[in-house]
Amino acid sequence: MPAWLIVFLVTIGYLLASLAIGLASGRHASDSTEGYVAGDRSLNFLVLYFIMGASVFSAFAFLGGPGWAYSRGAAAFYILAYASVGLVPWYFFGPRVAALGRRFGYVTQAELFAHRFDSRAIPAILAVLSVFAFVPYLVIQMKGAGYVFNVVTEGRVPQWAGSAIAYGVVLIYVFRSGVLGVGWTNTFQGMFMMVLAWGLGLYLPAKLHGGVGPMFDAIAAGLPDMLRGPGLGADGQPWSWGAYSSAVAISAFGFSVWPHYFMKIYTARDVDTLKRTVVYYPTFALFLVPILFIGFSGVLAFPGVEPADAILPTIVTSAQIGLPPLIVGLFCAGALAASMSTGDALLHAAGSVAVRDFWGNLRPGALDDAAQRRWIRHMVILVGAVSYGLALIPGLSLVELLLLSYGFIAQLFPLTVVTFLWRGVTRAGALWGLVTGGGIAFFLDLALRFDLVSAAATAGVHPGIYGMVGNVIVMIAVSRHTARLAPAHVAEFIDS
Amino acid sequence: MDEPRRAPPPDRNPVAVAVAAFYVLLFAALVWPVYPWFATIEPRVLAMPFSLFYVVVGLLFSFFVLFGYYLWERKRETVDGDPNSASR
Repeated sequence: MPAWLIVFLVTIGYLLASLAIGLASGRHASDSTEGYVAGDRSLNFLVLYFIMGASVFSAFAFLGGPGWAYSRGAAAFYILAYASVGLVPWYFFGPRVAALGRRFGYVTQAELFAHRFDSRAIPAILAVLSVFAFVPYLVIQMKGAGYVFNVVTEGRVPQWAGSAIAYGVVLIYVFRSGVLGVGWTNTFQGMFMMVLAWGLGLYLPAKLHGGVGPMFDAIAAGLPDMLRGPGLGADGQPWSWGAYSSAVAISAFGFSVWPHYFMKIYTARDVDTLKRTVVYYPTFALFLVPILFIGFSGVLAFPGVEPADAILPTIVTSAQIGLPPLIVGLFCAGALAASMSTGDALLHAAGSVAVRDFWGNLRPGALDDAAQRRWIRHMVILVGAVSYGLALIPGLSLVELLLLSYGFIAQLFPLTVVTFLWRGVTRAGALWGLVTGGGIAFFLDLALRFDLVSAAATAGVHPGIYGMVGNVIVMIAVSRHTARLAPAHVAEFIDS
Repeated sequence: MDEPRRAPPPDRNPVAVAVAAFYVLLFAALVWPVYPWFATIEPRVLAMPFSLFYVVVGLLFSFFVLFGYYLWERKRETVDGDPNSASR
């Protein structure tokens, strides 16, 4: 049997297993919106742990992580740095969010803010921006899946077909099983990725350099700037500390408030489950260490790979390494798992947010529970189809769009903090803080791209950080001069 | 204008504040101006350059501190006999 066919069959086997798990898991959910979106608030620790771990370690981590280590060296450590602290805020506000969700029936992030600030504008803005942030994110995952298929079958499966096969499976289980399908497949995919990452992360340096130590010795002797912080920038020159530090900051602040993760708080069976998920989260993040080793192993052994994100598939499929086709097939399945375990959560969240937060706000009470669930499913298909269409357009730069959305998402962090800690924040203060912060992040980003502002003038600091400063200042200033919310209403959130 | 001060909610205990402060410090230790002091190649530890080892230690600290706090909370629950005291 030719090697590529073995690889292909292993990959198809993985996809069938994902489909079977995804379909079987949905049978336990009730036929309600709460069942579809929040899993009847019944998820146990194991599933929640893998949802959070696997959703975060996306195609970006599996392909981009080694790509960063390969091309930018120590700059890639920023991913580990933000993963150390990113989820910790959940330990403190998560239990309150979960309790309020149970009490008032929230299943999305915006529903909490809508109620807290008695505002219909805030959730509508959040819904539009969330879907805009999700689509490029999803397109990148789809392209990643198609790319992996294409590389390991030596071009026999075109990229469009690879994306279609992988996301056909995702659509079926998300449509049928909702968040439970996402959860149980992520558990399977997460375990798969962990084993593969540690296996390849230790094997490849050993095979190429005789071990992790000799690998770093060789890089330290030849390219020392790669191992010294803050590593290299995209242009190959040393990166600035301002850019490194703000990359850690913007990712850490944004991490706990991305809408598709945030809404998973509502799925937890109880407070203890939620807290243990946060406590154990860094153990999942440790899996990034061997992922980075993979990238470093290619620095001297495979110079000049373009784009850098192709380094992992390049090494795995190279004749020099000579991996058996079964292992290459498992790698292909692992990379698909990385793409799909992020993509499924995004699809599910996009459908839920569009129907609950956007349509539900424009036409309150227009849809009963069964209709909501039906429309969420329709939206899942629509968002999947639009993203697939975008994934087929060659040369469309979505990474830029995604980075732009990070600046906005981070603005939700101050909003979340004041939701539970500051009685004095008003509806107008929250709204204008958000608009100001998002506006600064967006326009400063554009100004930097079009060279209207020099990077030196901002010290390389991410525009989202300036947005957060503006956000907090405007929120405080406006709140001091506008009408407060009823103290009894506010107490429900702060004294809860 | 300001509302009268209220008693802090039950979970705002000094240990929780100390844990939160630890995470602020951990964050600060992982970025400029602290991390540049440790973002060197030597000394090598566990085969890793120090710049990587330092960040991995941060990750482990993050785990152990929160794990310790979680256990402390559970113990407090048992001692207080109030299952809700640490679940807010």
